[in-house]
Amino acid sequence: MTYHSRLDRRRRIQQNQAQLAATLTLIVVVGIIIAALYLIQTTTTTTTKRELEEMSDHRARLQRDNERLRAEIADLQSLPRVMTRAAEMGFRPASEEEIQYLIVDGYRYNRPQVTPTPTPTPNAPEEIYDETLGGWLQKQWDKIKEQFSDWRNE
Amino acid sequence: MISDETFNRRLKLIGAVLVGISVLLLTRLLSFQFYMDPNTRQTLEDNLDNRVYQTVEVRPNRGLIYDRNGHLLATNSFDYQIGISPNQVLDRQEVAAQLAPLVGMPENELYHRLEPNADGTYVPWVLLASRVDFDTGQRIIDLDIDGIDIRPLPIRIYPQGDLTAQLVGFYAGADDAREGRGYSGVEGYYESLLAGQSRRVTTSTVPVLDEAESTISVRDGISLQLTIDRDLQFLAQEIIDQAVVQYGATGGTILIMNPRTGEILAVANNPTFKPDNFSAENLELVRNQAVSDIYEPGSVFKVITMALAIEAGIDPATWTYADPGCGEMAGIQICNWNDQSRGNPSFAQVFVESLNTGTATLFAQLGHSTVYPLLRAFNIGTPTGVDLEGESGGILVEPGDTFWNEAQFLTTSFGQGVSVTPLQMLAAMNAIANDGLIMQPHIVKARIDGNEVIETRPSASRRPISEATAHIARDIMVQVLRENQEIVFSFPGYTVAGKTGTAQIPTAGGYYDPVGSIASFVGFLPADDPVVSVLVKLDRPAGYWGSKTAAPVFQALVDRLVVLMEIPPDAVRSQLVAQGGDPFDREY
Repeated sequence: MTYHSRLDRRRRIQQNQAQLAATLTLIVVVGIIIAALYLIQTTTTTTTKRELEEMSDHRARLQRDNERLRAEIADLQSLPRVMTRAAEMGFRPASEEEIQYLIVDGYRYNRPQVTPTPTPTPNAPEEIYDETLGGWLQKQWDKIKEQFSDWRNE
Repeated sequence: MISDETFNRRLKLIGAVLVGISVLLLTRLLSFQFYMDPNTRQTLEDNLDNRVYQTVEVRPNRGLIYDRNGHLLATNSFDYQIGISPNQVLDRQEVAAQLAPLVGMPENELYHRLEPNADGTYVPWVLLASRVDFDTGQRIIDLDIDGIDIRPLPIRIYPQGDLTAQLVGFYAGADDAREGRGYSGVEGYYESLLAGQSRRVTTSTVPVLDEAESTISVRDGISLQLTIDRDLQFLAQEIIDQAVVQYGATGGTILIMNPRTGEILAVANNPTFKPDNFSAENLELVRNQAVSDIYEPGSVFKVITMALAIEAGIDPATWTYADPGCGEMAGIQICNWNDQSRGNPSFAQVFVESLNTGTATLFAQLGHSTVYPLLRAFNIGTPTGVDLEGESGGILVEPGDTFWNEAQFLTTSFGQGVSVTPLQMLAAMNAIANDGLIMQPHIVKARIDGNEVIETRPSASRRPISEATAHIARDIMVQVLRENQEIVFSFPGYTVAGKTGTAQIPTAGGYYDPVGSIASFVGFLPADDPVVSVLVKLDRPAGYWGSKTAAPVFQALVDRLVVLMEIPPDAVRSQLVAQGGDPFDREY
């Protein structure tokens, strides 16, 4: 083997090795890109999910706060409190003699109808079966007689 | 410098080793897919769901309860259960110092609970407080401590306190594992509506996985608007509390209804129940005496006797009898309240002067076959069907029953030997106020389901008497208050119908208590167009007689009731009617 042919062979090997290295590098880079994209997506999903959970917790807390505030408002508006406060401010219950009703001429308040007057349907008397054979025959005989008398009258 | 051959040989060797390792790993991985030790597989499968999914019960919000004007009577709030995972706590000393005062535990004890076991392992979860109030729970949440576990526990709040406690009932039994339920009153009767529908939902514990069920539809409870007027309830409670003290009674009841619609406007009892106290003595008081306790009504029952006698054909204008004052009938002595005879009293006089001999004579003349069907038509002896838990039916002993006898039939005419609840008594009298119709007593005015409001339509339950009979009976009840010398009434400007009652109290052995009585009063106003009917009952008052105890209570109540309900005096009302208006500017 000549010096030149040995040089060519080495050059080809080096070329093949360089191509292999380039291909492997490309695969690694593509892999890294795919991995990075997957990681970013997973991170985003996880973060979003976490945020959603936090928002859900926040909503639940606001709802609980709301319920609590509703109870507090009702407590502050409860009659014993209101009456105590009114008494502190100098109010007192009015007596019947202190009430004056003013009649405005022509005023007509249309009260919604709240007094229904449905009459319950009376229960029909329960039918009692007390017919005897003699009674039934008598009934049939009476019917025939009635038909004959109708026919005669015609 | 190594030669190329050596380099290639080593490269191949390393490659072979790496490929070998990869093949081993791949084989092992595949072995998990295709073959695995059965026990290991079972264990992993058993834990799979717990590792990836958790099933939780999403609870609905319980429906709220309002009075007729929108004031809250029952609402929801939360307590909190506090737990912690010790292995997640970074600074035990600091956490113990922060939490100890809030959960009510000594700092040292809390610190020890956070420490690891002797073998260095931690208890996964430690309970610090089974229940702390809302504000404390919120403060603990704000501390944002690692490993803290705060679970809300639903509770029920009754802003009006014990004012409506027996009507509304109470809610109990809720903890972190199970839901509570409503007991007694409206909470008990409407449990299924108020509770709503919870749902078990499986969710992923791994954020990147989809939830097993993405939609959570929990049906919240339906809210209820009651017919109760909080202001009237307060007035009734205040007056019955004062009356019990003033007359030395052991208890009492005031029941206010609208006879036109059957709506219950107020029910006040003394003693009453405190909804935030679960002691045994207090729970004894949860029973609503107005619908659960039966009693012999005494002379107020004569209004039923009067109405049914007229309905059965007795002519009130001409009927009379020879009053013995005290005489033997059906083997027992039947006496007037003062044993005195009135000669030949008229039909109206029997009720104005509350003559037992007169009502007994009426029953004797009418007979069983007439009286009992009419008593049943008045709903005596059966529950009214009111929408409150725990209603009693009353007792009406009839011919054929074991303990019935002729004497009992006659004493029923004046309200002894027959038992009713206060609600039954007032509902029966409402037939006289409402032109002969008994409207179905009810407590719920509307059901609120989200944006949908379903109103309860008033409905007639019975017609025991005709309109004409009702008007005659009403006029005699007006006469009772005007002419009875024993009752001192003063309702200037108003026409009021009513009747007093003093009932003996039955004791064990079939006798009556010689000392105590149940004093009561039933009435309605304005007599010609009633908007409100009232029953007052005092248990064992020192004054004994209904005319001396229950009647003044009725007077005191009505004095303030006409102001609160804006019921104008008769003259003003007549003027309003004359010009085509309606006297009642409120819906009742």
